[in-house]
Amino acid sequence: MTRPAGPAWLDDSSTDETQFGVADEDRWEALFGAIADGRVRALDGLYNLAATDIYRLALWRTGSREDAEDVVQDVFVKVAEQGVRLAKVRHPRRWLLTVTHRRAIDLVRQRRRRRAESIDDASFLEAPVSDPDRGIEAETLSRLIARLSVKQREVLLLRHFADCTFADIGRITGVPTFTAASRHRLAIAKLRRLLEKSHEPEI
Amino acid sequence: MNLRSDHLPGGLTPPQAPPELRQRVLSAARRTMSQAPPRDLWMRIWENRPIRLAWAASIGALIFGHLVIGEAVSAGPAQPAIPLAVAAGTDAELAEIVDLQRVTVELPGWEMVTRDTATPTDPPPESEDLS
Repeated sequence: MTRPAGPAWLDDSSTDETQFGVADEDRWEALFGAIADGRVRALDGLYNLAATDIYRLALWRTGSREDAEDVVQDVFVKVAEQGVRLAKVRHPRRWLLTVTHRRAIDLVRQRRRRRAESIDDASFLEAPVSDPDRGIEAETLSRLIARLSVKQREVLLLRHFADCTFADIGRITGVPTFTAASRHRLAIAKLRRLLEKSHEPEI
Repeated sequence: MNLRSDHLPGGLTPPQAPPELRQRVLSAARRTMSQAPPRDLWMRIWENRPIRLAWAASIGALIFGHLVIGEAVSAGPAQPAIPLAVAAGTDAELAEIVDLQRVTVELPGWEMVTRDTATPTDPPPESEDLS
């Protein structure tokens, strides 16, 4: 496998991100290869490319900003620990999301032991900076998303904000493709019901 | 707020990672990377696929050689009898050496088997002539 010797986006000078964090597979492989070769600066490039996806998945999975930040850190430490094994990863982005998924599950289990908190206040969606008037809409939808099951939330995020196929979602979450698609369908149906209910006038 | 079957409301996105997280995460990752033990020669060899294949091929060749070539050699023409014994037939001095008797240990009830005593003293019973 040939990798570029040292493109600019491997180091921290690059800050570009494609929409929803989806980037060329070669880019991910090159970054993983560079980290496998011990190039510390490639971690910056990987952060630029992957941090948003990881953070969002962790946030939607854990429902806590604090825990999501911990997950991002744990995932990057895990990447750093892998060393040369990273060069053998075939689908780096999917691998990273899988690690994130598993780490978030572990963290939620640990968190349950030490405290029980509501995720109703979690901000799953935000209004665009250019349109702050939609803040209320984002807040309403966030509250509804909080009422979905964790698995449904996760599928929604991976499908709509990480641009994953159902096959990818299945591999990331460890379920068959059909199950991933089914969870997505149920999540959308439930969200629609909740939305309709929220619009009904209170008697 | 419209929610189609396959689309969430456009424009709304999950939040970005906070900017201050970057430094924290990268510091931890860099620290981990710098603490990783250096790879020694054997590890490099083990992780190199062509070398692993060459090693496996050489082991296979050794086993093949042991089984096939070893069998062929052992199944070859038999070696001639001891040439010394053959030569002893013509050379008197050599015949003396070949016929040297073993050292006898004089112990009660101990009988050393010599070339002479090894020959059967009692002839085998003659088979009955059934004719």
